[in-house]
Amino acid sequence: MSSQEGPCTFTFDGRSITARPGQTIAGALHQAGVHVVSRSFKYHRARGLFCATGRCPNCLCTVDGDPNVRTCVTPARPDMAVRSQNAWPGLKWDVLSVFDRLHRFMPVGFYYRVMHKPRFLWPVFEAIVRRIAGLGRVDRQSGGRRRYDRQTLHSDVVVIGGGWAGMHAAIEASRGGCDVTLVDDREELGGHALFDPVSWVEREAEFLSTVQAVLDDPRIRVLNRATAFGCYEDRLVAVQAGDRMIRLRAGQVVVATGGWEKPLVFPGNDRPGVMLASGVQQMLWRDGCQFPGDAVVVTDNASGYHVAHALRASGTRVVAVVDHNETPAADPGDLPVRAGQTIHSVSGRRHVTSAVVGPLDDEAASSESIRCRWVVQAVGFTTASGLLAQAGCRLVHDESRDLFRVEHFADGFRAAGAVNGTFDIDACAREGRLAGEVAAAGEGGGAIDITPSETSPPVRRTPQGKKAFVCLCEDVTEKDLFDAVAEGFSNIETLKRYSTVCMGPCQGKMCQAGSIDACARANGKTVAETGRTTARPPDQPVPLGVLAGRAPHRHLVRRTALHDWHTEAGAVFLDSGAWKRPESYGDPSAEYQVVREGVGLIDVSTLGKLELRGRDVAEFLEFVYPNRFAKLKVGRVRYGVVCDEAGIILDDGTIARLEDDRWFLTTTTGNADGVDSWFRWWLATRPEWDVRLTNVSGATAAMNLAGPMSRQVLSTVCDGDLSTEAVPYLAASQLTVAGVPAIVLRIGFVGELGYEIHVPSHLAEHVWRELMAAGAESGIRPFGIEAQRRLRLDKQHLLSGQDTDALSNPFDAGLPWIVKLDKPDFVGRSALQRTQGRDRGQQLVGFRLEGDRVPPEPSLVLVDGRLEGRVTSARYSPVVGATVGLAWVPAESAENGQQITIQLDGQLVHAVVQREPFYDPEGARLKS
Amino acid sequence: MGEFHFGGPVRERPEPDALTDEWVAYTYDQPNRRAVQWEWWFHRAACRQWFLVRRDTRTNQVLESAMPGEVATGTHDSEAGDE
Repeated sequence: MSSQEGPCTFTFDGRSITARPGQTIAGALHQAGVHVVSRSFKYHRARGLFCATGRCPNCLCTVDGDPNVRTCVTPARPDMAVRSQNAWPGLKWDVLSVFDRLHRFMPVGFYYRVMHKPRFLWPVFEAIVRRIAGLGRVDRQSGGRRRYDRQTLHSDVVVIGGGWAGMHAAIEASRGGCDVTLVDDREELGGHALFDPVSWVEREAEFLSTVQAVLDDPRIRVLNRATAFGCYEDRLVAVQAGDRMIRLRAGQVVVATGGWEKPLVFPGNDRPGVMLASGVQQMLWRDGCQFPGDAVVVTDNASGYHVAHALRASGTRVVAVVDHNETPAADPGDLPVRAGQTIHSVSGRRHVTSAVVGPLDDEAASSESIRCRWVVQAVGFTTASGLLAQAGCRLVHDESRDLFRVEHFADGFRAAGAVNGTFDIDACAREGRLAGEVAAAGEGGGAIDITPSETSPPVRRTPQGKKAFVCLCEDVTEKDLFDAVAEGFSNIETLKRYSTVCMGPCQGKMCQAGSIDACARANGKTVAETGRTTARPPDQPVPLGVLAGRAPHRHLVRRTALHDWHTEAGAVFLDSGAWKRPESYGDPSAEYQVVREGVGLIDVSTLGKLELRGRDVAEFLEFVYPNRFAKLKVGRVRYGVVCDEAGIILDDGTIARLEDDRWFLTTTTGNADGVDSWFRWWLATRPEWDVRLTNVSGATAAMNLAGPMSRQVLSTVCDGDLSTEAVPYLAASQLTVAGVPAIVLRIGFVGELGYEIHVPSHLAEHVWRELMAAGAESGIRPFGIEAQRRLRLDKQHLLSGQDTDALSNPFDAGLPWIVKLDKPDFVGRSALQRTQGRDRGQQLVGFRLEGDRVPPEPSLVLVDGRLEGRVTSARYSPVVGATVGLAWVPAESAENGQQITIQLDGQLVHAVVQREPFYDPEGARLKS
Repeated sequence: MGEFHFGGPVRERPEPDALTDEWVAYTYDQPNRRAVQWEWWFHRAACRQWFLVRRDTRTNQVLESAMPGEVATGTHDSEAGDE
């Protein structure tokens, strides 16, 4: 069964355990005599293997730092470090198991009622509850190093479940000419058949040839050890395969997820030693385990006899087969059958010691205690229909078979096998083939050949008493559910939320049938009337890393037209959204200095660039910007801020009028697509506007030549007149730069004389090189965004998105002059008008901090010890001789010269508010 | 990131001189109805065109689509009852 050569050893809570080849962790633990594997969520009761099929919470352990690993389906590997969870100081003697004795004081939902008053104590309680309840712990160190991957796949037909029905569906769909993906969560295909060989003895050859046919079929892609955990819109199936998340888009989906064995609810049903028959079968056949000692089997169908025979063959003494039916459900052979009886309770704390069995409806009268170590339940299956319900299929309760099956299928979905309520082997194959055939034909969803009931409806016991667990994950007993219904949580949905039943790691696989049953009985209703809770993803727990992971190899990277030049020049790159931008060329301080004193050149190609043409552009801009544009003269450029209807700053940039009906806009790097889509939406709402918007962000490169010597440098590669009279501050000129037609904007983000030069991308490197050559004599240097950030901070020029956030409006961000409320209408006018009338909130102001200590972003601004603001940008400024920055501060502290307190390295330092630029406040250099 | 981006149900922007309540409702209340409604959708990853879709929010079924200005979007907006 396994490729492993010999036995391996691993540790469990420090103890060395030997696993045979192919054994699971849980199988090896069982074989080593470790029967208590975990402690329960609330009462810290000892728990052992229960379902052994990867559904219930009992076998969850921390493996090599990964919490909540299902050890019953995880193969043992050499040197694994396995640790138990939720036990202190250890599994054997968990002091917190005292809660088991205090259950009377911890009824269902007790924390909602007990711990919310007095309110100030809740954080204390919360910390304690979080410490003592719950599951494993995330290992932050190793967790941070993990890398998760993501993949997208397409398939004509997706079959979920590689059991008998699923394999047949896949083969048939492939035969119909489709590409098929078969998703199965086990190591090997075969589903239930692998672990119940007694039923399959005569079909071994057929079984093996079917598995081989699937594996050999080039049209079938098998994803094993892969869990389909969600069905979303348009047949998008979410699959977890190890550390990879697969988005699987299907033309048609065949769900063949089989069924989950239903546990009985009786006092002590959670004790180690009580197990489900399918789990016992898996332990016997897959892990080669034994169950030494005496066993009691409880059943109402033939599978109970199969497991009894299998146990006996492995050396277990089966002391009783307790059959709910008056006449045995299968040939008992010489097994000691107790017909018409059931199990009423078990005893034993860390392991079962005895079981009380007796007539179904009569607990007290003639029940008998039987000494045993194992209690095995085989009372039928419920349909694993969670994915179908998620997909929008309508499920109904089938009274005769006591299970939920699909009544109405969602488009493109169909089901086959046990999930359809079909348990007969031949019928499963038939349904699978038919489902595959119909799916390949691509017809709408539909029910497939629902085989009539082959088992009698189960006998409903009426167990009562405490510590009869419905939900193993959250320690919810049957009594808890009855109490909750008595308190008024009678609807199955509210019952779930109040009691947390079905909300644990098993996601209802073990407890849904039991909780619906209890809810129905507590309300005196039928199961059909009670219904079931809404199915939502994930159907099986998924590590958050898998959901959050991205595919690094698919990560979009954008490089400007000048990227190669930057690389050659030794640029240190910084990720800015998808863009790679030079942070510096090694010495940001020198780059800063050269812009202030000489001339520098920066690549600003990442700016969003929009060209707008048409009769109504001016009207459109008047509408989407709060400031005025109608009267902007041709050849001029103006700063603008884009606000949403709530008056919040979305973006800022420049707006240039190149011709009467031709405009050129820039946006920030990060929000280029957002502004483009925002403008397009407003244009779509007014189709009558004559405005054509072209996004030229990629087609156009841009560079900013800045510094007192920039005019001199530009004039050597540009024929036109660059004098202040010809090209004044805020001019938007169309010039020829180094032989290339360029849009040249005289703006100064860095606070010096400067030219933002926009040229076609394919000519950008030529222009750049020419400018660098022309500036060589003047000592030109390229500068990166670190120098740019320092330079702009001297001028208190804000960076939208850095200094503003989703609450910033122009009034508070120090740009009140940009809002022209006397315009009759513009986006955000109503909100800004209301804002203006209110008391001012936090204000964005400049501050000056003596010395060279720089508060990191976002350092806190404190007033009388209270958090009242934050620093959004700060740098040391050589020209000021102090640290300068921008901060949001309370309106009372926002006046020029006021002192603010900033937390810096745990100390409080005082800074002074300055509401005008730290450098060249009159803008003389800018306009020179 | 998906190919298409949802832009919300089609709504009438209040007149500039409308009451504050109307503006506040338009700005801050996002309707989330169980209904057949006209919605804005943006073909983000390709032609970057905003267009209109009539969709049943209960079943996510798209009933028709149109370019802006092609259809009257207000009249089709029908509130549906439970189920």
